[in-house]
Amino acid sequence: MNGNSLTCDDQLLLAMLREELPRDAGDDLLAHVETCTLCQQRLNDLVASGDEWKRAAAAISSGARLDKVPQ
Amino acid sequence: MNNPHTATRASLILRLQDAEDVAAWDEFAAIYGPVIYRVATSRGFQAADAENVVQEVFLAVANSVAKWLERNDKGRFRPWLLRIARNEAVDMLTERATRPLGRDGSAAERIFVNLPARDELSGALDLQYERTVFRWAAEQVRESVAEHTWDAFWLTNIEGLPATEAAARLKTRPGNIYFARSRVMARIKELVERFGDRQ
Repeated sequence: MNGNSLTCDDQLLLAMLREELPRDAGDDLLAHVETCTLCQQRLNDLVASGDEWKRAAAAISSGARLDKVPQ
Repeated sequence: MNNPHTATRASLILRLQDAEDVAAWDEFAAIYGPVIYRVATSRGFQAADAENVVQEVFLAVANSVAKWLERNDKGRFRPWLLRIARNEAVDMLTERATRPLGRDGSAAERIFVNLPARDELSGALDLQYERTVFRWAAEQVRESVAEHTWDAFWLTNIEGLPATEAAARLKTRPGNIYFARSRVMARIKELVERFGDRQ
């Protein structure tokens, strides 16, 4: 939890991931997540396990077909 | 590298009556050909020899399709394809590694020194297969999402930048980075699982 008015809520995070929140609510949640390390971690955990994130990174970075972001 | 299944596809289509099986073959060959090639070259095979192994594995698999079609309990096509292709690849990689490849005896000797156990080869093929499926899914996602959404995933999960730095680079707020990268990962995972479910 952090100092802003929102509490940590998986349902809100999921709704935002599905782009279902109204603009105002979305802005409030963005502000909350930016200062809440718990929600930052939950956003990772809600979509995949830590192992899956690592396996995806290892697989994608080992391929030559995906270009890096231009500097 | 040439598409490994073009040589065998025409004869295969004559045997496979089900369009879904033909599609499964095409998709499987597009993914498993590079898998065999990468494992072969990582084990010391020259490019041309690795390509020959790919061609021979697919030819052997295609020749075995008739047996699969005759089975009453044949099950789904792609699990069978994956199993038999892995076995054929292990057979050919070990067989090729223990006999001279041509006039250069030293090349054969060098490969023999690097010859791995069958279990290790099988594990390497499976790992390369998983990575190739992940990369295939990532390509699909990258083509279907906005560029800044993909970049948020790339910068943080592949290049390891903190969200604040990625946000500065992409001229957006950090909160958008956290959500964008998770949306990309969710979609990649969904495609990988859907690919697996079809097996």
